[in-house]
Amino acid sequence: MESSSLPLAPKHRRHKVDAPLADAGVLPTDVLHDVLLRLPAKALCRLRLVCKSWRSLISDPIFVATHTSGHPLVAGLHKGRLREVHIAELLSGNIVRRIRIPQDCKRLTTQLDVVCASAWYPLLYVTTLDRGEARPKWRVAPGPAVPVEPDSGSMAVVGGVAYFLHHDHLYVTGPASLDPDSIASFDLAAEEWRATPIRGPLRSLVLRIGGDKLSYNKDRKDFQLTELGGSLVTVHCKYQDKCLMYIWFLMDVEKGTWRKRYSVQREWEYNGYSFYPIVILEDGRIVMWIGYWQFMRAYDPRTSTWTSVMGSTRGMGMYVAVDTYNMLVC
Amino acid sequence: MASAGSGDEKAAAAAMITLISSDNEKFEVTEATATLSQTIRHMIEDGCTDGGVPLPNVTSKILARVIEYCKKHATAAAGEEGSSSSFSDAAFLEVDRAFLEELEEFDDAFLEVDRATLFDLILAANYLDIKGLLNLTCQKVADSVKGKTPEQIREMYNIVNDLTPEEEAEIRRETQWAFE
Repeated sequence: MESSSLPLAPKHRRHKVDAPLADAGVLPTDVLHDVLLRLPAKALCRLRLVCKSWRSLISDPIFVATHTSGHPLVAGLHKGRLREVHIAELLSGNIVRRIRIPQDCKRLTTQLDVVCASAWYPLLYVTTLDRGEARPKWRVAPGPAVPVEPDSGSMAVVGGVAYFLHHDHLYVTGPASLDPDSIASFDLAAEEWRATPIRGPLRSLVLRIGGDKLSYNKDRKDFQLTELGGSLVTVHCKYQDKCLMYIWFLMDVEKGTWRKRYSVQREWEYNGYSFYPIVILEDGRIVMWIGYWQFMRAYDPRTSTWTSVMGSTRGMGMYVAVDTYNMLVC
Repeated sequence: MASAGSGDEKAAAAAMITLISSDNEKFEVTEATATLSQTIRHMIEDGCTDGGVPLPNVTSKILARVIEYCKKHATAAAGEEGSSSSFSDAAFLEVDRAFLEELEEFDDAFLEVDRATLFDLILAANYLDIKGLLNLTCQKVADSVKGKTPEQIREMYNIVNDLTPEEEAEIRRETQWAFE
């Protein structure tokens, strides 16, 4: 029916074409760009095989960054007998990739080209996904000098560095000088722990009760650590009003300066369960993982309202954000 | 009813713009219809629409379709503007929902074209800077590409595969998960 459906001439495969759609109706590159931005990550990866110009367009860092903001990916830890990390599109819930992980892995944190799954202290597993292998190899990283808490909401990876909160229960075995509010950092490229810890934005050495003082208790998940929009953030709950939650962003790693960006009114208290932000959507809503219900909800800071997001997350232990960059560009 | 009447009067009183296709056919449209195109809106603002707006990149066949789209969506935009003062919220929501459904049906029917026409519509929407139409047509192409294999895409768009077998193998290896 359509005259453009001519059979391919396979013998001419070395012939170079400039126009991405060498048809009678040629689409300019910016329009093709617009079309491809609407496709899910998995379809895009396959379409890198079409031709050289499609490959370079889809692998372009600016294209990838734009695509990521419209199609956020999340990584979930499947709790079934076979431990797997599911990387899924947040808005559709489609799983784009499954990665097998070591049996004793309980937690994970994902950012850029690194997936870091962890068992309990002092074992830490690290893998890089930059070659897109189906079964990545896992290495055991050196143990930290001080006890850390590799738990959901207690660790995050930002800019190639994994950050951990210190482990409460093991204080006694740690050095006397250990600051319970400090954050330990592990350089993933060098695979070594950094000497100086980062101080968190608030202090909890003395549990302050009464007044308007903020206070928190790590056992009860009132102080959490995660990654949001490329920044390291801490999440704190007000001592007297557990429905009120504050999100602090680390502005400067060197100086250790923090800024409070969001005050979130939670729907329930969720004491003792992980509850942390994962992704900020294009419309400004913040998607949060609610450990108690084991699902995600989106919070709109302008209206202080909650809406549901992503369908079934049954069998999933936790979710974290994942950067599409590495999924597309290798 | 009163507000609908005054809307018609307003439209009738509005300035008319003449659009001239590449094959020299003239189309007379209201300013409200024409200004869905940012390109034409800027020309009107700059006062360069006297004697008609020549559109050398758009044929009369495509321009007629584009105008059909703009007319329908300009009515929708006018409805949104005038509504808040004339209807109670609930009544407006009812009208709004019915109208949006109608608009969706219109858009679906509008997209029932062959691929060459669809591409021409995209090019026209891009040139005239009509966001809604560009959105609609690009999504249609994206939907048609989504489930296809690279081979099917090449065939659909008559693209010559200029990747070497080594490069192909490299792409498959890099993102093996996408091919599972």
